Amino acid sequence: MIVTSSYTEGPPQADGRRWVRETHITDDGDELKYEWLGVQDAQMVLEERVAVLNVQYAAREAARALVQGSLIPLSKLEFRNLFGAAKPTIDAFNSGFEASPLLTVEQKAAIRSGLEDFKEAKYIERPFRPDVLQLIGLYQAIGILSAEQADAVRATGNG
Amino acid sequence: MADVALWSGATGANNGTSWADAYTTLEAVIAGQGNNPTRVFVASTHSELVSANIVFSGMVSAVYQLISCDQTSGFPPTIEQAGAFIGSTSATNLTVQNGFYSKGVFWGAGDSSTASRNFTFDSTGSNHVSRIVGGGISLKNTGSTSRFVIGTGATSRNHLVKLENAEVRFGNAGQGFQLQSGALSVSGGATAGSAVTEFIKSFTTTPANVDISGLDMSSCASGLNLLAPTLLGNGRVVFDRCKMPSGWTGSIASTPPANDCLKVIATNCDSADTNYRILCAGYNATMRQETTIVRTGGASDGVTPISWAVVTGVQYYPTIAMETPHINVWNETAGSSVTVTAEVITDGVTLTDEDAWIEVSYLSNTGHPLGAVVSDEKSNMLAAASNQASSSVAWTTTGLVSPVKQKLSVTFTPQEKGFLSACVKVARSNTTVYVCPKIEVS
Repeated sequence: MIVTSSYTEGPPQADGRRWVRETHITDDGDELKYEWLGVQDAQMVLEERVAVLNVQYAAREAARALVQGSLIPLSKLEFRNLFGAAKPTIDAFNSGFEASPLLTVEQKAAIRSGLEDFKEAKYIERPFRPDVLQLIGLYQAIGILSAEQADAVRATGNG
Repeated sequence: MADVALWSGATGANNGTSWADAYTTLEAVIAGQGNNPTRVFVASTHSELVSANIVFSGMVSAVYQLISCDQTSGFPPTIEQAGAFIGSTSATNLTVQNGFYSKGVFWGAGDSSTASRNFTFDSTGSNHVSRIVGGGISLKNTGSTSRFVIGTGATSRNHLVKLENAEVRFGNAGQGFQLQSGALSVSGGATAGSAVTEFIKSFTTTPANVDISGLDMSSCASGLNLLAPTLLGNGRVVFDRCKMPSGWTGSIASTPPANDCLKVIATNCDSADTNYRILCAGYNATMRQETTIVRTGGASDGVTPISWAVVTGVQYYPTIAMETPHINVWNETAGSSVTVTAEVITDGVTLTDEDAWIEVSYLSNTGHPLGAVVSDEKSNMLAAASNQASSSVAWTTTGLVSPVKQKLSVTFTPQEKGFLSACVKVARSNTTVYVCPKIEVS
């Protein structure tokens, strides 16, 4: 946003117009300069320019707020590597969970769908989607991941 | 060359042999005539919307000519009459591939669309020229990002577009021209429609040149800037003798170009009754005319004394300096030394030979026109900068708190009579230097 504005006027030119030089300072410390030739009221032009610029700054801020937190997605390999030393245990679990008596029908369905989604995915979105967080939580609940390991994986997902 | 008729109202054989049997679409003309040079008599009442690219023959020797005619004058017609219209549907951009000639035909992109639709001059090869005489081009949509696009960005697909006494119509204040691997030449004509705020919106890095002369731009916004701010890209842009909007307060750009490869000059473009207005832009610097801080007995248009105010932002000596236009003076002296001087004045700044200097090109050899360039820029890059010589000439200094008068001069021996070409370069950052463009030769 513009925080301070000022102008200087040059002497009248041969045809009565004069050069006006405006200086606007933004809240980021940027200095914007505009120079124009005319007879218009310099103060009014200055104020109108501030209004016009601030509308654009506000729109930019709104856009920035919308995309704040956007993170580059992970490749599937990058995602698997988050599990570090637990990977072999997780792989073994994934290949045999259907026969596990410790899991409910709903849990098996969630794992099955999650693994199918992983197979189809091109990349892993960040922040992690709820179903990804749910599976991480499940791995923690059944002891494949410690609490610290699970927290570390989640932290990467949130950037 | 074949002569054919094009009229959207025809109901006959669609073979172009008469008005009754006229082709009803341009696509049918091109399909029927192929790469043969063809003169197309377009009825002034013709109106069509296309939904695909218009692809003219790719042969410079077989350019289609589209001439809007009064069909009541018979076939072949004997009276030109502007009014024919060819455009694209609201769902489609208008892309014309390869060069063509049209007279009195109006072209439009994105009929009545609220979305952005471009009008692109494309090529399937290099060296295509389109010449549009009378009639006009328009962005017939209200999309704020619609553009007249010249070229495609590939140097192998250049397109020179010439508009002569043609209308250039916009549908939204945010529209404008986009230059990509091509050139735009405008002579005469007028803008119309929405009051655009920037005429050239972008250049790509592929070189492009723009020459606009005698264009009535009074329909544009009163704050019209000729270029969008901090444009990147390479090329040369010249506006000359254009009528600007009433009360025009615009400039080359709100912020000068962001690179030294883009040179912009506007000469004699104004809304008021002046004939001395000049604007230039280089990297982070501008130059404009000044009619109060002027040298006594210096440059004048015969009535109004003039100087050039060079206004710099951050500059980077020794690679970047703002350069004034070249001033050509006839020299009668050969074989004897000549001194060329440019008078300058600042407010409280003593310029060194790193800050500002004069450069002169002269004929330095006998028997052939080989030239040499001499300047009073610091010559020994290992030495400290020296102040430019002070001057005692008289200036009107209204508004200056602490005027500092200096002169930039070089002495050399021309070997042939001929024009001397001089310019002043300013490399000092954040400084205003007033230059008298009447250089002295002694």
